[in-house]
Amino acid sequence: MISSYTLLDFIIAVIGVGISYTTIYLAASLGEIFSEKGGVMNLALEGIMAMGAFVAYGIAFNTGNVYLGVVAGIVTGMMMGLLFGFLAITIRINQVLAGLSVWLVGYGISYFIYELTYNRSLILLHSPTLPTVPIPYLVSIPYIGQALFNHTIIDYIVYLIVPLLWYIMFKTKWGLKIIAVGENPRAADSVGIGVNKVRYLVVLFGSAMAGLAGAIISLEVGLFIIGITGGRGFIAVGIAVFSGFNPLYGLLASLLFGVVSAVGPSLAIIGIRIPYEFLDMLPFILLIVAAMIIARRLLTPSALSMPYQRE
Amino acid sequence: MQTERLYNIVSNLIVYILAFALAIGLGALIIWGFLGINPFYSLSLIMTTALLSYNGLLSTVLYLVPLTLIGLGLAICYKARFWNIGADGQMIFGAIFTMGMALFMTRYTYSSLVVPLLLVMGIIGGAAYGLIPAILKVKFKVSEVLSSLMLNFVAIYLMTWLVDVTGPWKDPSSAELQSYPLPHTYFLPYEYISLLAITVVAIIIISYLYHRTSFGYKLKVMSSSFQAADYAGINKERQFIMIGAISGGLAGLAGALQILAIDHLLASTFDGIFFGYLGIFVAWLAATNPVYIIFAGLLMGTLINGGYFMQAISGVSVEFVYYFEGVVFISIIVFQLIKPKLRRLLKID
Repeated sequence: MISSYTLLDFIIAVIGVGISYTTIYLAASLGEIFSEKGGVMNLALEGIMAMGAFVAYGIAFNTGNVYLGVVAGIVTGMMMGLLFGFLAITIRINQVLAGLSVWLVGYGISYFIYELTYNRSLILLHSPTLPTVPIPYLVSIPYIGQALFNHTIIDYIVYLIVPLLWYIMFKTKWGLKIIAVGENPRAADSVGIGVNKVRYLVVLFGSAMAGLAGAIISLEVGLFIIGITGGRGFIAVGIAVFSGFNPLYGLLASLLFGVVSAVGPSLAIIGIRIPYEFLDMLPFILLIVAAMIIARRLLTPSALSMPYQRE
Repeated sequence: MQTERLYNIVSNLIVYILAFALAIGLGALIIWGFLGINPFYSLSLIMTTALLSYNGLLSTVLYLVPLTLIGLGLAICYKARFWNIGADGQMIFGAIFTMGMALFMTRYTYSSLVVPLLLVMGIIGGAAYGLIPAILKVKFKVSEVLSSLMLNFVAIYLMTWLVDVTGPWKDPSSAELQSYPLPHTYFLPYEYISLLAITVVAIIIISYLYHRTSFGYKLKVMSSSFQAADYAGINKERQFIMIGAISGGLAGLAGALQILAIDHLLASTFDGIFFGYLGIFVAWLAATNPVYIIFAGLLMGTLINGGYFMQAISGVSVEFVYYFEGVVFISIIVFQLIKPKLRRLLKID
């Protein structure tokens, strides 16, 4: 049986590991919430994350500056977003199709160029990692202080922009425009909102956030390995839907999935071995179950996945 | 009428040839950029060895068959605007069912009479897995895009567990993560001929379903509009369930064939090239017409075979193939763009 000591260790590990998972889910799903609210479902998130992770790692490794790496990851994400936007908004092909092709390109190109460049020997090349910045006083709270208040600046920023994004979406003119474009593009167009311009902006924002999520993945550990994104981009798409396209609920949903994803690694930390495949399955199954519970009440933007064409 | 059709085919052909050239060119270019292998040399090598030689054509068949079967099933889904992207998981489930039954049957008999049973098990496994998103959509209004995508990952992890180091099917004598091999008597006899024959039969059955049954009629009504389907009194829920089972069954059959004719065991690298996602593009390319599917499957199979060959000659990792697949899709999509211009050029409109 688990003694109380290891149970405590387990809880602390779940919080610590869970928070770092949460940051990644949160960054990616906040972007996806905005693009879906604007009527564009971006399934390319996984590929964009892989690209962001790879470029961030490469730049940080070569320049020695992590924050330059983060910026490079974001810029890469936006470039992938442009490609996706071109396919889904300008050419107006099916968004599922556009998303899957950009996913494959990003997924393939990042891992394949990594193999050609940084993976020529058996030694793993470490890039510098994002330094953690403990928050004074709070970090000395027993047990949870270290787990909750000793993270990187980027992590804190991701959490701090949640209320800001909520405010932008529901209390400003910009947010209104995004919602209008996602609900009824024709009406939005008739009052002079540039539908495709707004959609490009939300897609670019979403891809930039996915690129950031990728940068966090690789620069947190200073490594890039094949398959490092592990489907987390797709989970982020699910979280965006599960949150009902609200940034605040997005935070709660990301926390839930972060904790669930952390159960596996944390069990390993305290020495309990369950086949890791079942633990890796958990977030995906949870997402389906969650969708079953809330799907009937979910208010999906009416024009989601519908390309807009002026007549 | 006749000439317009001809023009249509010609403009389609030009589009695909250009897309094909662009994709192969981009692939060769990136190999040239990183490894300094002359792109013209690699291109000519691909054309002569991978695509036009006897062995090259045979290996194209191995891609063509699963792509066609999966594309057939997905075409039905997309006709009814049921956005199933879970063919990958359904294919894996078919393979798991087939392999499980095969391992179970080896306790009793090694007779090759088991093979049809194993194929049926694959269909059942895929159909059962394909039913899940359909039921979730009908009963709980869960978006099938989301549920089918998530189920792909569940299937991948389940398969990986089965053949993992501590997994129940792991062959301890092998260093790779793979199951016990099938006994030779369970192999699909005359593999290439049987593969093609099964594919053709599947196409004929699905065409029959399309054109001669009430299922096909309802599908046509649903593809024109859901509202029309409602007015015609069509039970959309029942239709979705049937579509989920049929498309899943076809993907499961592809998985069973992959095991019985090609891999002869279940390895963690099963479906390393994402047949399920490629099938989406096959269905889209063929504009959901069951007879065009085999041509779309042939085109995609040839390209993938070429991509694999490029990967092999340059010695880069298998991830190159994913990049290449994405490039193929995007170039085909982009060339669809110029089709109207091409039609104007040929003065069709």
